[in-house]
Amino acid sequence: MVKNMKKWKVKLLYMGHSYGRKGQITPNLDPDLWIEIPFWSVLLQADGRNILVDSGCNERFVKGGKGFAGMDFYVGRKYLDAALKDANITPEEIDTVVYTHLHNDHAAFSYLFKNARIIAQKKEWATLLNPLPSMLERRDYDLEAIPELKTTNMILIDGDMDLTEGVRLIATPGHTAGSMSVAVNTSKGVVAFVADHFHFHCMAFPRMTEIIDFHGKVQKITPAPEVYADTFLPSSIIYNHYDWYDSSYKIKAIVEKYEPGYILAGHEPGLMYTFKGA
Amino acid sequence: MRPAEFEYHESRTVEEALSFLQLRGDEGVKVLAGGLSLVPMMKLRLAQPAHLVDITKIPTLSYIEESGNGGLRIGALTTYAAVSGSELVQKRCPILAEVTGILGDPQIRNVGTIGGNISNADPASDIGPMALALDVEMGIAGPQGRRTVKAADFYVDLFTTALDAGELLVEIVIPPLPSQTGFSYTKLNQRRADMGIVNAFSSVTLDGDIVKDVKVTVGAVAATPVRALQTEKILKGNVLTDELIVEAANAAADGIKPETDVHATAEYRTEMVKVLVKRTLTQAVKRAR
Amino acid sequence: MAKKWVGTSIKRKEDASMLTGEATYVDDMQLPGMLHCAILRSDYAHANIKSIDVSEARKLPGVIDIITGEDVKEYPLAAAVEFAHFDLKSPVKQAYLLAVDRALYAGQPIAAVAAVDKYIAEDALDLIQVHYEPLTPVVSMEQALSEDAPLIYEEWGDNVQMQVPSKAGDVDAAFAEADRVIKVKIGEHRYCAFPLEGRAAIADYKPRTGKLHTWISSQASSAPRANFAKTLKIPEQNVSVTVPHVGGAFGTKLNWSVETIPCLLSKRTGRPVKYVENKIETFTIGPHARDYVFNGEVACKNDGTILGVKADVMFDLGIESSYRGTAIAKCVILLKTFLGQYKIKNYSFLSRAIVTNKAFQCSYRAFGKEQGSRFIERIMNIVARELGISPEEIRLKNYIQPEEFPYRTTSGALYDSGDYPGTLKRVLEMADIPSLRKEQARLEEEGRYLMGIGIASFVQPSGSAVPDGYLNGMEGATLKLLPEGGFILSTAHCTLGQGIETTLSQVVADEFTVTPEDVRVIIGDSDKAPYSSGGFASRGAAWVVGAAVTVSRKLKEKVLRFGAHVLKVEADEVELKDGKIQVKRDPAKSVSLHELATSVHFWPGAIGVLPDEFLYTDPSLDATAYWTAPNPPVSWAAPINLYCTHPNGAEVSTILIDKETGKITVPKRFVVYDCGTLINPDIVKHQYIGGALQGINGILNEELCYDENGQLTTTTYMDYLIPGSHEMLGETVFEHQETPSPFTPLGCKGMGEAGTFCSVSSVMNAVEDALGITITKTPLKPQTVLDYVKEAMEKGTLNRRREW
Repeated sequence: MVKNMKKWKVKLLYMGHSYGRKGQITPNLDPDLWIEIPFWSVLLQADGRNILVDSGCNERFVKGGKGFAGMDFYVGRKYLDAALKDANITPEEIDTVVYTHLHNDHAAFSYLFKNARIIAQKKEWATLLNPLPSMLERRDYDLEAIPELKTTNMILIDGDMDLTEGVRLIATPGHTAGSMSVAVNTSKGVVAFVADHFHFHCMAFPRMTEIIDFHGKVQKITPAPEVYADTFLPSSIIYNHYDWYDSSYKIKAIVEKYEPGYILAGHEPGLMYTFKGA
Repeated sequence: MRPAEFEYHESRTVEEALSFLQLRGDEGVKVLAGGLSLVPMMKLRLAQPAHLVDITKIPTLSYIEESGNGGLRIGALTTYAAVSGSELVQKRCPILAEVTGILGDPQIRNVGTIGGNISNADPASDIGPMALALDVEMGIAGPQGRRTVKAADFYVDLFTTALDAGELLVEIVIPPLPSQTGFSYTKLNQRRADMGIVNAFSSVTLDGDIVKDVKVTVGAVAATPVRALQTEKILKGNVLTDELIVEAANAAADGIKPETDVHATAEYRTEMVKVLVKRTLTQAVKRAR
Repeated sequence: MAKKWVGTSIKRKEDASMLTGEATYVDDMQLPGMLHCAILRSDYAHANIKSIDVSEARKLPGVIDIITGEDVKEYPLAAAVEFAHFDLKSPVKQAYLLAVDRALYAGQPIAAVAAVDKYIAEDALDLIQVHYEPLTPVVSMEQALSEDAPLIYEEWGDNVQMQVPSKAGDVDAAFAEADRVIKVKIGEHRYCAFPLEGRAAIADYKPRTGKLHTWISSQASSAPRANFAKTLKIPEQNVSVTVPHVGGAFGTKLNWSVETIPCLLSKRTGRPVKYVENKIETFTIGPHARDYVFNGEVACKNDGTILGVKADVMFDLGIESSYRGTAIAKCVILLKTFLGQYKIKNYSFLSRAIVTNKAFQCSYRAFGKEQGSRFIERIMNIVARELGISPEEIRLKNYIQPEEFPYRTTSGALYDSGDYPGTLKRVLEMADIPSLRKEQARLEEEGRYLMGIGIASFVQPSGSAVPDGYLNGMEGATLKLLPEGGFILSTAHCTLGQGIETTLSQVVADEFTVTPEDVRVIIGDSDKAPYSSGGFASRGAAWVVGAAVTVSRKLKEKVLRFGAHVLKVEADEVELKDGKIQVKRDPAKSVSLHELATSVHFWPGAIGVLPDEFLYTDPSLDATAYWTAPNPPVSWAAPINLYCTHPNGAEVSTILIDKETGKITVPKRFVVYDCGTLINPDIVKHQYIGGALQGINGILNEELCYDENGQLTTTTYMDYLIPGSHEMLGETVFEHQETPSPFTPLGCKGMGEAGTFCSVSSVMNAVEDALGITITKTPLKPQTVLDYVKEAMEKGTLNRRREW
């Protein structure tokens, strides 16, 4: 990225959380470690612009208090409302919404953003219209979001794109066919919001031995053994492993420093403690 | 200028093109053939179709064949160059070969299609006056099947034809031409490849010195090509003289109201109608003899 | 040394590359991370800009930067010309690359967007909201000069940017003793060249090094470098300008205010930015040309001797012209050229540049001098017609004679050489006027066509050096002899399609007795060559060839001395022949240029080969040299001559007018052209013929029309009829003459602009010859000509006897 480029303020928005076992996301590592797994969005602001990246999960996915993989789910409209209120912003003031991918826990309530352009990858939209059988059974994709998205001013892009000065959308397929990440220039340099590409930091840094959890407490975790994961630690939900590894290298190359503080992992339990905004 | 965003589709058959027109018609669809009129309009954003259907790859729309009764059938996608270079056209309808051989320039003639010209219905089209005078029939394909429309009913208004939204022009049928008949087309322009400030077409059928039949059409002076009916009335059935030709040509200006634009005023165009009609009549007579 | 290449019509070296798509033009280039620029243009001819809201446009995905007037205030445009000696007004507020507070013409750049592709950039323009407060536009010179005209630049108090009055001799006495005083009013409409390639620029600013590299379609590379540096406040050593192939220019690419826009966007974003104008922008942004009115009075004797001329000319500049178009220079240029080839001792002349709310003016094959030429050439025919003498006779009577050269005119121009009577007589002979007159009479009898025979001649000032601006005269070149090959000649001159790479190769080849294939010309790059004022005013054959010859001879002197040293003889004992340095009295003793070059560089190297006096001071096989014309102006105080060479020519044009439609066709023309020593006769001939096509089509078919609101109504090629290959005019019978110039090393005279001078005069004269009346309204569209035909019929001037 370029010297003297515009710097954006990045604010973390909390869109709810689930409660489940770490081992369900990082297979065979800490299968019995129960942690809160939050759903993160970010709000990018500069010069009167308000760009929202991902917008939470609809409560219709919560049946009897349970969601994905039978975990307890605490999500829905009220979380989005609270997060926006906390950020001192209304849905009408959002001028652009970027969907890193269209999974049900990221692309809800699109119709609320009446003045925004909604941006997603072409391949992701195609997947939403025609998910794999396994995705259908798991209800990864919310088919009811299709008519909702159709009412919006949706722009489908294909590949990388400079959204505006200091914000670059980079295609990072792997988790899904049309996943993307958002690279943003901030006062500390370029950070990347990667959503579910790395659900947790330990997927980017396989040797991590501890994390800060949702309550701010340090928790010990099992580092991935060398024969298991050397460069990156793949999650349990990956559509194409070849793409996933290429995308991981792409993210590594674009952030200012390849450290947890520069990578906003979409479900990192204690992200609000390690990343205090920029 | 650059065109607004659109989706591009290709059709390999007429049916495919028609069904696309049916399905997406209300989103705004334009048919792309040579693109010589459409693409500049899109670049100027005077046309902003959401979809373009490219029909140039439909193999069954480019042909020139005899039509059994002495006329010609020409596929809508046949280029001007193919029409003017065809021996069959040169034999059966030499005036068509002549006109398609001089309009525009070589690049235009290699890419532009006769069907494109006719369905675009530019008031200054070189084909329009001829189609009207020769009573050409347009073969149209649509969801309800095929139908034909005569040229006089086909040109409806400025850039507007009898084609319905879901229809495609697929064929031009030239009726057999009468004997003892001379044809002439001329246009007035500043540069050799320009559209006419005024166009005129005459066909004169003689029986000795008597005008057995006459058709005179004028282009670029109204929304569609027009028949100079008064001119025809003055000549038909009468003995041909130079004075009669002049009188008839002058009558061609009656009742027409051309536009004024950067190239010419309405008054000048009106006057030139008389001159061009006189010249085409004179040449048509010469060729008839 | 026998001349071998100079004077030979070899095929042009650059053509194969251009015709096969191999040549690189600006739009062919892609740089990593490049953005595309789109420009928002003013909707109004004259308006206050109350506000510009770009917030919605900024939100369009892919838009990276937007600039408006606010953002350019700290980058005032560098001035292009500054004629302080004359009464020239500049805007008190500086001029800027975007409109600041006020829009002054419909089409003026108001804002600019840089986005990731050109479609998004254009979509973004639709989202920019400008709030205009329309003001009354000034749309004609008459209106501009009227009492209650709105002032375009309030601080001036009027709408005249420059006026140059001038007098010589005793014009009142001349008019008093005249037999006849004939009034003449002529003029031309507004039109211009519209080369196939419009403006194109790529600016690449690298923030970490602070360096700006630009690739522009332009006629000069040195001057825009200084221009960008000053406007953008980047030290000039950090600015580079490269001009790749140019798809035609004809004078329209000597202004860079619009190209500065992508440069500023690149400086702000730190990314390369490309701007390629679309055709509507070409027409509306400008430049434009011509659009003038000449009012003259000619005092003469009954035998045709011209005693004196009073004239005033005014031309419609559009908006001001010292920061953008430089067209105000025409005020001075017209003064120097309106007397043509004639010995006119008494005159009073006033030229005025009027501002209006239209696009700015610049040069267009030529720069005012073609207007001066047409003025005097048409006057000659009009006066001849009034006096009842032939157009040939009146010219022969008033021409400057061959023995009078170099000739200083009363307006200060210095003509180098020529044989005006000889040129005219030859073209008349070629045309066989009596046969043409017979044909003319026959056609008049027949009645469908009117035939006109137009005779005209011209002198073409070329190779300019205009002080106080970047139209100045500075021309250098570097020449290198390479060890494993031939020569590289580097010049910052630009190739516009005029074949300069071929002609310069021929010149160097002759100097060194090699072939043009042995010479490569590097052209158009400000980094790679010494200063060149650029490719305009037909400078090529005069200044650039001058520099090429000078540097060749400088290097040759060294090469011969090195060769002599190697051959162990004195320097005056050797000569160059067939690429070898050989001893004159013993030609078997020789060393080839290749052998010399490799031995100096490698085997054994300079230390083993060169004489001491060069080894320690100048061991290279290269040289840099400059050429300056011996007769340029040194200050405005001296009798000022702006051009170092003056080709001349004469033409006979035959035209046919269709009496019923007014359409003009030009079936046959005869041309004799003398541009001094010819380097490549075919290039000269084809340049001339191409220029004639432009000139004639311009006067017949082209017109830039503004309506009463100051809106340009001719904005596409559907409205504005440029000449295509099928307009190639009938037949041209062309002959060269060569009267070398005493002022240039080879005797060459710059020729590029020639085509538009005489072709327009001779065609206009032909139309007047056919009709017998003076034509004042142009262009000569069929409709206009038909009105003149009717007028001539009423006045009874058709079918008249033309015997003198």
